Amino acid sequence: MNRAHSSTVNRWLELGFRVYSALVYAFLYLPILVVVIFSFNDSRSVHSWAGFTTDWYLKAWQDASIQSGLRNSLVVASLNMTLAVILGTLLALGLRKSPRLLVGIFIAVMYMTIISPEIVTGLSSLLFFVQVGKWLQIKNILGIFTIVATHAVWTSALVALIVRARMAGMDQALDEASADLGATPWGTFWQVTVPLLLPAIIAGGLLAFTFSFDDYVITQFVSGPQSSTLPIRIWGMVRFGVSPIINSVAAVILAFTLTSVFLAQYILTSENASARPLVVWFTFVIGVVLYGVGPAQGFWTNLTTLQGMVGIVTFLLAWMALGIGIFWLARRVRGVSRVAYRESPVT
Amino acid sequence: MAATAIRLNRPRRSWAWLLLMPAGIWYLVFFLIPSFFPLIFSFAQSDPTGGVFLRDFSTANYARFLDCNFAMWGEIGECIYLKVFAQTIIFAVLGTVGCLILAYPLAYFLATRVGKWRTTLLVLIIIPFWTSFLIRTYAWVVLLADQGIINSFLVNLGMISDDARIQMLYNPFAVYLGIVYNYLPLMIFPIYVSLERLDKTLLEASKDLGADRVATLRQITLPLTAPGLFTGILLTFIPLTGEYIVPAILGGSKTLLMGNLVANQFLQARDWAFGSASSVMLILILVVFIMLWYRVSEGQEVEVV
Repeated sequence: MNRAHSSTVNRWLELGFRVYSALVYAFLYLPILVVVIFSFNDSRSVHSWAGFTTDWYLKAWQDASIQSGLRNSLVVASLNMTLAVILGTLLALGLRKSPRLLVGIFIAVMYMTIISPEIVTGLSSLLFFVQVGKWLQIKNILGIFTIVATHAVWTSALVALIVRARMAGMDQALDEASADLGATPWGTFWQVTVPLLLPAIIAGGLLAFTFSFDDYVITQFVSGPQSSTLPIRIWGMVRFGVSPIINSVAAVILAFTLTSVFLAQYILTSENASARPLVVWFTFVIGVVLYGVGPAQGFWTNLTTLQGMVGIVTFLLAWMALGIGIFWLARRVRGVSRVAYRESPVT
Repeated sequence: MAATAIRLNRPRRSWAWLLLMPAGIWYLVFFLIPSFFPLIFSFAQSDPTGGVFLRDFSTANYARFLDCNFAMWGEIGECIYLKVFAQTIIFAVLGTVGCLILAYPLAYFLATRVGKWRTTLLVLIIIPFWTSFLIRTYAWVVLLADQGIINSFLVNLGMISDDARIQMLYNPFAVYLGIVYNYLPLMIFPIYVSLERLDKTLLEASKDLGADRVATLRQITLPLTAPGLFTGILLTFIPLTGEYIVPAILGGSKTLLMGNLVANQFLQARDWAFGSASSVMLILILVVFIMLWYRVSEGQEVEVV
């Protein structure tokens, strides 16, 4: 075979692959990019550029239905995250040492919850909740609780799979070493297992938050009239056609979800990635939740008399400063305890 | 010390399964038990004011689904629901095939990268997939609409005139495009994983033994990455069959799939019993598909990332 000929063909093939892949990536990202760009367009029309503006963001921010949708979404997503992290982490820990048959059954059910068409999950849950409501004589059973209960099913399965994947890469010898050095199982759990799994748990929690925040199909089935989330509001607007306000809301959601997913992926794909950016982002998200739905807004307004955009920005700055301060203190304390540990007599 | 070692080595009675119970109970109550509800409700009767009467069980809802509304003797009627049923199968099959064709070369490209690039490119595939499905679908409206970006671009270039804009939205083409766009990553992943695990020395050996590229691809690469292909097909086909957002937003009212039929019965027509029957028909497609899949992929282990 002609070697020179072969290498020319190889070069052309490689070039072909590169061009092809570039096109696929453009295909994946172009629509997202267009939405973000046109959210800054100073015109009602969405097809020709008429200058830069941030008016649409302000209009979206002042829209009452978007505000209530956002509030509901934040409540649902944060409750769901808490639940999914607890259920999922316990599940992953339990699967490590359970009988094989049980592990097989659980893994199968977990994949089923993730892969089954959302619409089927949604309507099954709707029928179930309405029937339970009839039996228990609860008038309006559909609401935040039913949304969270349904979301927690597949998001907890996801958290469990992520934590489990991390465990597979974890050195079993570390657990044994800890036991050999005299740690109780409980001590080993808190001082060895949990710190090692923490990045995966946080990444899983963030993904659970994002997916729950984003979900439309399941949510529309199990939400009540008072609990419309942001995607439901967006759906209602999309049915009336394209508008720059949707673009701006979409751009904010994209910015939020892209960051979360990127950080989670970064932690999950690289072996020794620092968890710090993820923790900072996580703190930020918690701050937004606290301000948006928690008591923080009232507290901050009373304290500083700052409101609106200025209020939320100053609150988030203060919150992040507080978070970083606590983190720094915690590291110092841990450093001290580490020194003490090292100096303790070996028994 | 020796005693401790012995005790550590002996298999201890494990209580780890207790940790599975919270999630297990949750899945049982909020997933497994509800799964049976559509089946039961599909034989019941709808309450016109909403909800379902759980009595007078009959197969009326299925009869309605299969009914072809024969107008005259010897003439086949409209078969509205069966048409949607068939259309869904066609879309699911074509969508899966489209994803497969687009995904394989890309997965191959990813698997042949080295080092940091590979991770970055891989993450770049996952990121859009994990972000708001609704918004990404809506983005295509912005692009494809009559007054949208692509049409305006073509008008500005002078390729088409202003009053002859191309109708790209609200037709089967737009739905197909949206489906392939949204489900492509689901296909890329498993194929990538199987390509990455492929023993590269086998390719060398094939080349040394005189096989050309096509022969190597056909006889080595494709058979050895079959598990990835089968997993990809499974992961894409199942959620795609229940797809609802894409046809609702990009298809207008013209391209109905089973997902829309079911959702409309629940959210607009409020005919829950018929909606349940429709969803059982939807699940039927999946069951038949999974059985077929199982037969064809016999001996292939499912690989999930």
